[in-house]
Amino acid sequence: MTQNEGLQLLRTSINNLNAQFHKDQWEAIDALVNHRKRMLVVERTGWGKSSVYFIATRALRDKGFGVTVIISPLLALMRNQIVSAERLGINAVTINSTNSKEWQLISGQLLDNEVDALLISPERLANENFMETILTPISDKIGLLVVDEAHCISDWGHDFRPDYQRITRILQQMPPTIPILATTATANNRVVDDIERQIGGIETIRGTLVRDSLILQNIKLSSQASRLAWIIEYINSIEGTGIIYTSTIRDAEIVARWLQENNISASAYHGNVTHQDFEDSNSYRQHLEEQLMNNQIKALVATTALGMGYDKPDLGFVIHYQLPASIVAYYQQVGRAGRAILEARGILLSGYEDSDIQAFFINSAFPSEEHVFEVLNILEKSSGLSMREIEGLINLRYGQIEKVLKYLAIQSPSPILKEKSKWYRTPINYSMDREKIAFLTNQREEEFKDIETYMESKECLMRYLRETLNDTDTKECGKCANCNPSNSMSSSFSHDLGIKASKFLKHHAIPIKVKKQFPKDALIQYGFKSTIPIELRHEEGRVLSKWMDAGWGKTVADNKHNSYFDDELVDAFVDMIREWNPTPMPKWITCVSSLTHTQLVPSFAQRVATKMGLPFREAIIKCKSNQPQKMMHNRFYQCHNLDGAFEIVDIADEPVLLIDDIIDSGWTVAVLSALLRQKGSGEVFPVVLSSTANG
Amino acid sequence: MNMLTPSTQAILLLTSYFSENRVKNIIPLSAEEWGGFAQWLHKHNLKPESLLEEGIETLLKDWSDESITITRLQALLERGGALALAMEKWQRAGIWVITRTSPLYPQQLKKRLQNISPALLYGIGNPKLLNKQSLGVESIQESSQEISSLFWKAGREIANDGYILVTDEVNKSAIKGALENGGNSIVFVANNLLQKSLNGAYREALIQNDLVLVSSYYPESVLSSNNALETSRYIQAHATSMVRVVPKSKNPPIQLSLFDNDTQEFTDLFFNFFISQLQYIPNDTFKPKELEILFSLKSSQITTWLEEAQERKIIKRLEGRVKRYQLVE
Ligand SMILES: [Zn+2]
Repeated sequence: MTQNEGLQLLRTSINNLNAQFHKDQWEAIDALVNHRKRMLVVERTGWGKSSVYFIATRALRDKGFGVTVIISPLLALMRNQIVSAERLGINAVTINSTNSKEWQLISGQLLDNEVDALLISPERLANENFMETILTPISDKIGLLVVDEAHCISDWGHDFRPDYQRITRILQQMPPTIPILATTATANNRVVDDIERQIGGIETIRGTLVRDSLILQNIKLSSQASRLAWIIEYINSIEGTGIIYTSTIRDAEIVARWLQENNISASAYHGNVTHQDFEDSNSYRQHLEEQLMNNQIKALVATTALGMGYDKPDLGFVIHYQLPASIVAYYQQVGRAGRAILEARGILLSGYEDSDIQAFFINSAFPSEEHVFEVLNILEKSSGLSMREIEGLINLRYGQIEKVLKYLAIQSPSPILKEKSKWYRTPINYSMDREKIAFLTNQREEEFKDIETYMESKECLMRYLRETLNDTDTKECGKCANCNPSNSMSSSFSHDLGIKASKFLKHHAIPIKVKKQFPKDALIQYGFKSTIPIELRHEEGRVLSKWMDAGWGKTVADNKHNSYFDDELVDAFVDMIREWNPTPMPKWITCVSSLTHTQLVPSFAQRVATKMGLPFREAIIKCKSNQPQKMMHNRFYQCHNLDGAFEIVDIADEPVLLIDDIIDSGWTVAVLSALLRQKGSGEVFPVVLSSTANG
Repeated sequence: MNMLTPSTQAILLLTSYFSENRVKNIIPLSAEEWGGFAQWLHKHNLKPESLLEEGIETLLKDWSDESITITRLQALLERGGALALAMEKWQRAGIWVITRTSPLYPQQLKKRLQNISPALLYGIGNPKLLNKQSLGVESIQESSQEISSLFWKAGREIANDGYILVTDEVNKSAIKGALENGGNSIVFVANNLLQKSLNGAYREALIQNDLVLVSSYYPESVLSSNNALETSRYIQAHATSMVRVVPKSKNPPIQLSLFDNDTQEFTDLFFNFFISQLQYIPNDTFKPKELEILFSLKSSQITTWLEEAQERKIIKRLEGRVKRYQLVE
């Protein structure tokens, strides 16, 4: 293809007769189409990488080559991308968990060579079914391979995504017959060098990061309440719509709810987010992405799950509620703002919990060696086990087992292999790569220190970011809070808002979801089958706080340590129940009993009963000393540990509040509720002071 | 992890399937086809990896073959995506692949089978075993306890003598006999190497480098009768000599027989116990020429040969060893 032919395609695709290539766009297309090269393209968001791969796809398809496969963490092609692909006559489809009903149709089109470009997420590659039924059949004829967010290929890339390890190995085995385009918006020299080393024969094209419209500012506000107050004080004074990043899912939920309570349209966006009107998390997330895209909400309150490469040209602001993990991560997130508008804000807030949160992430990034060998040991003794079977054989949490399997499965060679939903031990002599884990852990710690330093910087903030990213253009920006203080926003907020925010944090009850199934064979003494009959299930309950959180969590922890729950907790607890107003209204109160702390919970429950004017009955007797429930790590062991441990006496046939201090997995209340109901009580509403991290 | 060389990539693309889910009309070159084509490439100063570059029409302008057409070659070479996906999975499971030019490739197969030796061998376990001298055991199914036990002993004796047992998957007892007595084994697998590598019975020996499973078929292939036949050919080609177990209805119930590698027939040796043990005699007892003669003999010729052998004092050496192979009561 000649440059002129390429230009015609560009003009057609963006429907602009006078369009010219951006710098390096044609060079990339030429290398892919005419020389079938491997290219690493480091260009800012909005440079037009999709133009590159769609024009290349058109040209290669015209020459008779196979489908272009695009691997990208985005859930769907952006609307404008689909439109420009359509203008080139490119049939671009995506396969993800939201459209599983269409898989067969798409698969048929793929096999009939009717699809020009297939977009998939990196996680798809770990899905055996997808690999076997969709990707493998078309892999006999792939024309071009595109890997988005290619910085994840490097161990030096700021976010270590396990699925990219697999992509890297696939790229390494790819013969030179297939052109490869790897793209990223953020890669410093070290990352580029590493990618070049790992993917043999790849050439790099690198542009500048410049983002002229962005006004950067860092504000330190120690308490969460002060940051919540600040956001409400100022968010409406920032034009346009934007993203508020939080470090945890829970904080995304809290901040979104706070905004909603203050009449600001906002939604939480994270990997587990669901909505009753949507089939699954993916489809709801896609809906949220579109809402922001169309400026139907002021802000998405998101974790890093908000797809990398989310491309909204007129994003007005990016506010960080907490410090992100690294400067590169920060740049990548804040760099989404202000691409095609004159002014945008990038506000980095930071508080007391930042270092704890990041330390938790860093330290829990890899499974412990002990867990790894426990899982391997079980698999060694078996001839293939499903996830559920593993859970029944070892006392580890579902999440812990999953983490081990995920970690091991991406090693190569790997000590385990999944075939048709069962995990097998491969004949591989395996030891954990401690050196690599130590290296990655240390690197993450350094990266977090770097952003803490950046937070305090008095220099031009934009230049600081660019230098860290080895950008060639490092002049002062002239508009950040340090270059031009008159551009900066105040860090103060109204006293009333501060009080309101701190009250809000203390009134953040968490629902207890209803359990519908016990693990098979876990409760033999009680004779409970797997499915819990509706008449034995508890109702939705409430938890006052998250263990150690900014609301009541810290008080609960301190009080528990002193073996007495203070009256301020009784008050808060009763307030929560009144606000919640369960129906039918409970007529009596009981609590979980213990052989070790005989008075702690009953004393608390009794005072709650007095305050509410309801009778208190010690309906539950602990009749067997068992292991502390917190030592039981997965559903089977958690339930099994409760089998036969309690006896029910003295009940009333009316709705009841079942009080406990700490809820972890929720099996204790599920089992006790079933026992209470079996004995003839009315509806059971569990109410708990605090939930632990895994609850 | 092993990065494939471009040469291995090219050979894989030309000669291997990668999945059951594939474009049905693209058929890789057989070992024989590849053998001929590779010779042609060599003669024209071309390397397999040259085919991965642009413009193979020009490179192959002097090539013409009714069955190995340029179109077929191009379709095979286009399967780079399939190759990369499959190799990533297989290597993750610990599987490696070697070509005829690899020093790890069993030279015995190259020597005996020449052009029809497999273009590629997939394997798991210790590849260094492939170039050690082996004794082959190949058989009927292990239908009885008695046969199993005999196989186990055969495995043990081979191990005790410092030889490697080469066999197929049927002879589980022989493999056990060898491995349980500190020996090593090469097992030729006719299909689905990946799945078989996950068999718990092999795991420890594979991890300990005492065992290697090899297959000339891609690791997720399903069985075709052809696979089984060829596998048996590879075992025969690899083994210095072969043992077959033949059940008899009368006493002695089981007799060991020597299998003739060249005529593909049993050389049923009726000379009782003494002769029935011949196959266990490691070839250092014989001079290579003598062995060759031995294995090409028909039973009618054995008597003559033995007389001659006695004259040449081979029998003396044989007698010394035979006492160690008390396999049949
Ligand atoms: Zn500045």
